[in-house]
Amino acid sequence: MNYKTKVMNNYNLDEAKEFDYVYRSGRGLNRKLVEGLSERKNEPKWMREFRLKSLSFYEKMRLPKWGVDLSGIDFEKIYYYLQPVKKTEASWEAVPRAIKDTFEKIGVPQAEREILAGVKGQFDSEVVYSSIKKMLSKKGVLFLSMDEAVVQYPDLVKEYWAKTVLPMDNKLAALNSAVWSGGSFIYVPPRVDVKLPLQAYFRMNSESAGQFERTLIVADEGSKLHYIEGCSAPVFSTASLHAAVVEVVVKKGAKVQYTTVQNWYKNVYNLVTKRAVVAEEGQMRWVDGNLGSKISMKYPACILRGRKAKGEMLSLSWAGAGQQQDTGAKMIHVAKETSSQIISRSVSRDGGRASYRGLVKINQGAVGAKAKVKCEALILDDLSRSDTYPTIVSLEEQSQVEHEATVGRLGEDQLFYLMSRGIPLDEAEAMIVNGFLEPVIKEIPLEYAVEMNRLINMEMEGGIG
Amino acid sequence: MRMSFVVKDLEVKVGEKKILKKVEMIINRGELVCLLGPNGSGKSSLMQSLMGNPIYQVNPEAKIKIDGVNVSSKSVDERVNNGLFLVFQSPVVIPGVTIREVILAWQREKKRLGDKFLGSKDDVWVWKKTIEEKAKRMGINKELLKRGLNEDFSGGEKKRMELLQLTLYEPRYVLIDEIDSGLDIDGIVVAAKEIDRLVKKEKVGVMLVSHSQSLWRYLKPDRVLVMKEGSLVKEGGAELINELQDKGYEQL
Amino acid sequence: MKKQVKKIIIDKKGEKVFKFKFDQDNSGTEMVVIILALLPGNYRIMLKIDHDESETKGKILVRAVVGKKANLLVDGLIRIKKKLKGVDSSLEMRSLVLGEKAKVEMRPSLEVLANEVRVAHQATITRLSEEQIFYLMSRGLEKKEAKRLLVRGFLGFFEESDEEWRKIETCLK
Repeated sequence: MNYKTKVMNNYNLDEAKEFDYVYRSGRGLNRKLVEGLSERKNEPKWMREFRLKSLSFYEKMRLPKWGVDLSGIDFEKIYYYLQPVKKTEASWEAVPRAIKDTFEKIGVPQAEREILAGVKGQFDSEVVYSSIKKMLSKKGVLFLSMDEAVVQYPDLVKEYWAKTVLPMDNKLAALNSAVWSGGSFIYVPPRVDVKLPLQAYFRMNSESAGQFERTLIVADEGSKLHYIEGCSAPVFSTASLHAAVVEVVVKKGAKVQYTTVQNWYKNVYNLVTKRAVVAEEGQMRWVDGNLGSKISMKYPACILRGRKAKGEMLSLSWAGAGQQQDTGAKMIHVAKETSSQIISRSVSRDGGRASYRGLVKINQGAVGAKAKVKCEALILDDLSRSDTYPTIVSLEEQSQVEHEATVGRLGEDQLFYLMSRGIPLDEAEAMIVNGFLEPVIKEIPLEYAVEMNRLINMEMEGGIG
Repeated sequence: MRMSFVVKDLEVKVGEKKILKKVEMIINRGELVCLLGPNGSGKSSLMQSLMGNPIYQVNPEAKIKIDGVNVSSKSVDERVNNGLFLVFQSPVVIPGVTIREVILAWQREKKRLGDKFLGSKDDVWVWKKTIEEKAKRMGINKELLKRGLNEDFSGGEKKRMELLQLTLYEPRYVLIDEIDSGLDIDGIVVAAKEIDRLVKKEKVGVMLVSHSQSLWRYLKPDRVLVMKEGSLVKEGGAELINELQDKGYEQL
Repeated sequence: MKKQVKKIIIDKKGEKVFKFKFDQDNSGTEMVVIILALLPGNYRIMLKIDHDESETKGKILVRAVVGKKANLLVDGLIRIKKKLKGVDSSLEMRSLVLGEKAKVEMRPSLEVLANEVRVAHQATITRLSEEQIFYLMSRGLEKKEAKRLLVRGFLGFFEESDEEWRKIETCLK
């Protein structure tokens, strides 16, 4: 297939020129590409310099030795994917059958199907968006795409930019720092409670989920926010590498929940760096639903820097055929009387592999710190695999850390009980699995939760594709 | 033909060990049969194997007939749809799965099978009301209906939840494995009333295991079967209960 | 399956590796590893637990007492191979920190490739509870004696020799 021709057909002339150059240059990332990217976006000088510095970190760093084997990623080909992912597939017909079937089964309306499948670039919700915009501006809440925020509020963004996730943190964070595009910027003023959960696709002019999204959320003192990204319907992507960075700043007394539901198609490497810094009496909660992708590596972290700061991570992972969910969390207790909780539930089936990788660290001086971790894993057949690699470290005598993990299969007695209530075996299995994942699903807003339950039922029936 | 639940030539093993030897028995519709026996005699094993618990290996010649239909090779859920119901002695906990979800799933399955069997209510909202009303009658706190089945329930609450399910499934034959242990006096009265109603009004055939004096104060069995060491060793009328109470099981 | 209990006591610094293999012969055995990391310095204990055969049961209990400036790392891996059935394996690691400036790191890991199994692990890092000390003192015990009882209770049925107790005592304030 003539890749160049196919892609060229879908771009306007300016972008085609840029792409042409990249294609011809034939090598991975380079300075000129990054400079061009920054110029196209009209970014201030400091951002351009930041990108270039990050590029040099990226070039010097190596992939992490631990975790999943990432040798399958061809970094030389990355430049192909700099263009917005979703515009690549122009027609509904080209979307895989399996994805279309899933939408049908879980009842997603046609308009939404096309967006989710990457056919359309924007959510045409003029009415919905303008009333949300009105409500937010009354409260002084800023909610824009990251690209717009850098141009419209450069000083505000600069104050918090890359202070939570530094570009040299890991190779993929460095990559993102150099070529990021898209993502959300949210600022919530002091004591404002944003009652409505904000979702990525409420933003106008947003390029739907790009590969290197960069999100920055700042919740000022005493504010409250719930942000949701992703969706449970499977999303097709021609780009096979997604490396996002999410930074969350939780100031004194603020409360933030960041919910992600991810169901990337099974060709995607989903490698995400997510971190929150929590100030005195602040609360941060990560809720993660990992259903898709070929390989996911995500370890949302909370740095509990202020007294009585609280960090929480609830995650569920589904590892089906050909999938590896390598997920976990990091809780670092710096200040006194901080507390953290990690709840992880995973299911592996049809040869899938689910691994929990976590770190709980209590620094010296974090007197009265309390940390709790509970991981439960179900392996549904003898082809699949489940691992747990936790590390708990304490440098403070006056603290407490508890960790427990179990791995097993569906209880025979539970199956017998449900069958003795007239429910056939396969449905009983699906019910128990859904019940097992329920503590995490119930923290996800209802519409997503219902979709997730349905998806899990389908996966139990025999896989989506 | 008189409608009945017939068991013939039943032998049950667990691994290499023989648990039940050549069991034969009948429960007629509208009849209350009491099953007694010392601990370890096989009463629970009998009930669990009649329901089809895979831990128990049943011999291929065995016959378990519900109103003439042999269910000995049918799966557990099929036996339920043929009108058999088991009230568990120690119901298992199923986290995150509420009683409403169980009932709705069962109804969906029945619809799929063409609803040839008992029970006619298949409207979701009607079921919700029905569950709530019956729960009230059983003395179950509404809050428990929203929890995972038996999750953090007390012993008494678990037993009442079993009773509630019994009234919702409207079976033809019921095997009750010690409903009374863990129930207070009020609970025992409620249980006895319900069982009595099922037998006399709905003409359900009931086999009931109970050691408790209190239950038999409110219920009078039509027949009494006694088990010992995996076999049925004696059959008689209600007076057998008092006889065993006085003389114990040794004399058998 | 008879329950056997085997004990290992470690009280010297340095790195030690222990391999446990559970098979039909020793199935049901409970291994207790007592670590007295009482002196300043590094203690590194690695445990490798394997089940070679199906239908085996294994339990490993680690109890560590950590003194002032001691640096303890306990790394335990339970690995269940493919095709094994009816395996029940558990690892419990508990550390009691008795001194300041101590560092405790625990890495209980599981790699499970079979599904008809039940595998669990638990790890905790705690210190003596003020509430419990107060309770025992309100029952007439001297503070030091109260702490001794609590440490004893923590270590389980470990009957320490006088010498070993003296070492533990130096960590109690």
